[in-house]
Amino acid sequence: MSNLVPAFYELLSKMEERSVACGVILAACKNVSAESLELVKRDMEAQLKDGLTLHAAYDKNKQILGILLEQKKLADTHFYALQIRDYMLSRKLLTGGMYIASFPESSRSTAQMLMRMIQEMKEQSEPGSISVYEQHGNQRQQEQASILLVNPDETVNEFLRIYLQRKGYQITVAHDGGDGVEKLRQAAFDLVITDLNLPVLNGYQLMEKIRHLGQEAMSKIMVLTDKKLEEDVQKSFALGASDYMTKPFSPVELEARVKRLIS
Amino acid sequence: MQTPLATAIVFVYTLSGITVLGLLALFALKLRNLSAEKQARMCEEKYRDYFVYLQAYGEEEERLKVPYGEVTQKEKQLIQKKLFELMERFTGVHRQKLIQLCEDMGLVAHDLERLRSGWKWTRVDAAYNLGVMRSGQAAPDLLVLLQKSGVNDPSLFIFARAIAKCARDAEDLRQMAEYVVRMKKNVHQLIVDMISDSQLDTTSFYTEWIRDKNPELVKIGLIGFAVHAQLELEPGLSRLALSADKEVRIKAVKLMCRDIRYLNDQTIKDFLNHKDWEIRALIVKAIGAMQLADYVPALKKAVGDANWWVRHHSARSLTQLQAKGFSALCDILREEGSNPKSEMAQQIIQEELEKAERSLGGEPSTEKLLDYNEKLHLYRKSCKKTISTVQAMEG
Amino acid sequence: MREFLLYYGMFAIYYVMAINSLYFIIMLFSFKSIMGILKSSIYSRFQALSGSEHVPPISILVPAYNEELTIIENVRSLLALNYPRYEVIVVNDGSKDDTLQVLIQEFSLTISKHLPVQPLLHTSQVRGIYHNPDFPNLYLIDKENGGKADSLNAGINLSHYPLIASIDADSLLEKDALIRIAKVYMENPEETVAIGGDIRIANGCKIENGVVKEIRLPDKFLPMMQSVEYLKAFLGGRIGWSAINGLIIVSGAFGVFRKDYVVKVGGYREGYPGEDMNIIIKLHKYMLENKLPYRVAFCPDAVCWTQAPDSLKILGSQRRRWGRGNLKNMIEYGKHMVLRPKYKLFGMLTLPFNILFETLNPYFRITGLLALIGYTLLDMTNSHVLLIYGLLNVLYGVLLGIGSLLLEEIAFRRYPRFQDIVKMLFYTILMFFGYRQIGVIWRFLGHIEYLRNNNSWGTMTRTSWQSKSNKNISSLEA
Repeated sequence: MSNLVPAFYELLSKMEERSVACGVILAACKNVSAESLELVKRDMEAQLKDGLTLHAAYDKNKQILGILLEQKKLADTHFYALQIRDYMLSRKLLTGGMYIASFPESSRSTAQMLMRMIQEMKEQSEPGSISVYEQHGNQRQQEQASILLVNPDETVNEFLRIYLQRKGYQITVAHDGGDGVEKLRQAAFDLVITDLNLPVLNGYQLMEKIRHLGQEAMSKIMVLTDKKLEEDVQKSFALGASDYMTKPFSPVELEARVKRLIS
Repeated sequence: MQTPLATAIVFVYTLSGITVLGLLALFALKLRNLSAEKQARMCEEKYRDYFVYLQAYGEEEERLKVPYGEVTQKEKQLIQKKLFELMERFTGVHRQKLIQLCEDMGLVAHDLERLRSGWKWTRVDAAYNLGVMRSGQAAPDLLVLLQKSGVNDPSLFIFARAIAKCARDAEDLRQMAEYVVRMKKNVHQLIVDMISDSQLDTTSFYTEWIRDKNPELVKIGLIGFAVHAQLELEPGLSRLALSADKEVRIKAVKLMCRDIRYLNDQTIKDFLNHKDWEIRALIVKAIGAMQLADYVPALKKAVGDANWWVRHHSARSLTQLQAKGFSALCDILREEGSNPKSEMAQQIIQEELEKAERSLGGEPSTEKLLDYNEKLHLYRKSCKKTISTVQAMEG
Repeated sequence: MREFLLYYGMFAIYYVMAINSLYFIIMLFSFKSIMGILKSSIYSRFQALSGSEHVPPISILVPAYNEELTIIENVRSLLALNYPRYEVIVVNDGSKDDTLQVLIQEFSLTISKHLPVQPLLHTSQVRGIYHNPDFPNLYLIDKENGGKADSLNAGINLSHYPLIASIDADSLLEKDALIRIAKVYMENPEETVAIGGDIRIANGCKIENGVVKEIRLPDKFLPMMQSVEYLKAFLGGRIGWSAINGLIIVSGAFGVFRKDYVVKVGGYREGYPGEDMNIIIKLHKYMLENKLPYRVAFCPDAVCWTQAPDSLKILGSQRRRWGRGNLKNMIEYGKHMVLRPKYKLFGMLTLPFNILFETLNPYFRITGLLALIGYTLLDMTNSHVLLIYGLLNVLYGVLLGIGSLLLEEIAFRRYPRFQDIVKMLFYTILMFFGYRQIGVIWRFLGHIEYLRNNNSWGTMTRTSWQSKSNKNISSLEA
């Protein structure tokens, strides 16, 4: 077992008792001695400013540096992780990726969380990449609902990929209607979120194709578009869309609707 | 002979000078643009993970943190661009949090300052930025700037839209709209489009504007009212239908024609005999859409209207009123000689028969078959004399 | 004799100075308005606007004659524009090939012989109108051959919306070209009677699925020349002319018009090329005679890509047609409108400018050059006069070319690479050694054709539409 668990256990259980948040950062790190660890810790604290309390420990076997951030939720932990990464990169300490989580957001059991995180630390991951611990992680990958995004708008695609992935959906992106149909042929999706203004095949043609693809379980369709005309709404529903949202949209609302459609 | 040639030579030298200057400017600009692009790419690379962080935690309660480390002014601008792209696509808490971030980064303060710059285009840039950041604080300054821009100034609409986005209350929007309609004629649609960018609840003040004294505001109100379809009736509409301003009349009638509750027998009759063909066209269209079978005789008469659109919509509406309407259309053929009225009736009947026949393709339902036969029968009855066309159609 | 040649040569020198200086001034107007155009373009969210219910609906008219090879892709691309509400009306002008059949088959269209059509303008016999409820915004008119203008008129009769857009069947609209034009219209709907888009040369670009994917300059010589030429005419010229409301032409390849006024002036004129310049002149005339405030606008960020002819033969026939159409328009309207104060800037500046510097250009330039050559031959000691004439021409031309490249670099930046600019500059200079002179001759030949009354438009149409020379542009005049 990694020595990080006992090193942090006491602290974490204290937090657990007081029910305050605590951020956890694991980083693949070059061998550091106890003294230099202390130095690194102080350096980091100075760099992060904001007067936050930071605890660090090092696992020699696995070569993992563990950092606890008191009273920090996941969002902040992620932010500080960016800085810590930059610091470690500049000191050439980082040898792989970083893995972050926060208690109690990410898991209710701190010990279990910590152990799983250490297990899942992917050594092969690219130096400097940051991944977020997911509670249900790998075991549920099969059950995760899959969504196909068909949208020519890069910004929306990037955002929805990040946002919906965090909510536990599997996201595939297609940039135009033709690409969308291609992806639908390759795999089945629980939900297709499509724009109407698409290159190659437009949204209507795409919906038509989905109808004719005749998969056993047909994907539900949600339209996310700039078009605000009544006739577009009508036509979309006539072609089998289950929901219609116009841009600009509220991501919170979108997620709620996605949830309703998929369950 | 020397002098004119000398002038030409001077000209050649001047031209060479300007050409060289232009060339230098062109190359300098191109190089600057290329280096700016490169810088933008590098900045995007540098802040990629930061942007991921921004997009992942848009709905948590903590504030989004400003980028750490040394951030140059240029980088700030590039980050701002990315933030704007996101903000323009969101509503709700995600946008709100990005606005907060912009404030924390000092972008709002910076642009508020630039709004007072001596350079016109700097002010325009700042106005646009403040609009995206929905800065209510900027609204008064923006209104002043708006009122300084002239008729043919393209920045007029940039300021106007910025104000719509920043508006703190209906009064800001009102001032904006009043100024814009004073400057430009007939831009009501665009104004409503701009106002739809506002964060305020617009439905309430559109109702208010409909009752306003300023006919321009009334028009904006009517357009806005039409978009945000209301359940409640607006009693002012019937009064506006009598307005001296033609456009107000038409817009009011258009709204009334969407809801049967506005239309009593007298109103419909008034509209049918209205002097504006637009209004006559609207009402005959509405009669068909609402299936008001009582007005078949009135529609039949309207097929003989002087205006093509009124004739067209009347005939179309008759086909929507089942057998009774269709038979009235056929009656026109029998009763009228060769005139625009019977011509229109003829065209619509033929088209209707074509449509019905086409829908028989494959295995038609009895219903469709009945429908077609009935229409054909009515048509044959009405014009025995032109039976040949029917035969031709059947052939 | 020598004296006379010299005097005439001097006159030609001053003529060249005057014409180019005027161009230069017009270009300065372009520079003046470029910032406004740039800012109002980048600060508009066209994506959002393209879904707004407040944008006016447009009827797109696509006259097609023998276009069976490209028509499907073009109609598909037109049906996929980012625009809230519009219809596409393809007018088959009695094609000899299978244009009609391929369209009917591709879109499963069925004939409606009796679709009511408003008889606004006179046209050739319409054989039938085709439609399919699955493509509710596509119509196909099949009519007897009557020329491009006639086809447009037939389209107007069927159109259901208050704005019409005319588009060449072999041109490609950028997806947001229409919404960009609509924005210009929406900002002044009362006064705007016509808006032109920017035409660019697609040769060399990578086109996929009806979309220009990668913008590159043409590899071939002639299309490259035309690229530079178009850039100069559209950016340097038309932006400036539209700033002072003196535009004389909105390219038929891509322009948007108020239908009510087009109908009021009697629609498009049949029988002559240059119907797109003709309609603009008529609009100017109508509005000025009725003392209505109006504006003919140009929207340089709405781009239409078109294939330029790449053989001398086809290019020549195109330019001769332009010459012919231009002369016809100038003779027809010149005598009524030139220098009449009633026609304001249009009658006082635009038309005279066009007659003096466009229509009569070949005569002055050629004769001037010949005179100076003759003079130099007679008196070798004064050969520098010829040199000055040449220098003036080239220098001014290059200066104007640099100006339009600057405009491009400030506002549009379609050609991303540094070498593109260098290449365009090179061709700007090259243009004055051969290409320009041939152009002048073509125009001259066009005039001769006109005077010999060779106006057999019908036959011209048939051969030239297919051969791509009938770009519905009619001129590159500013």
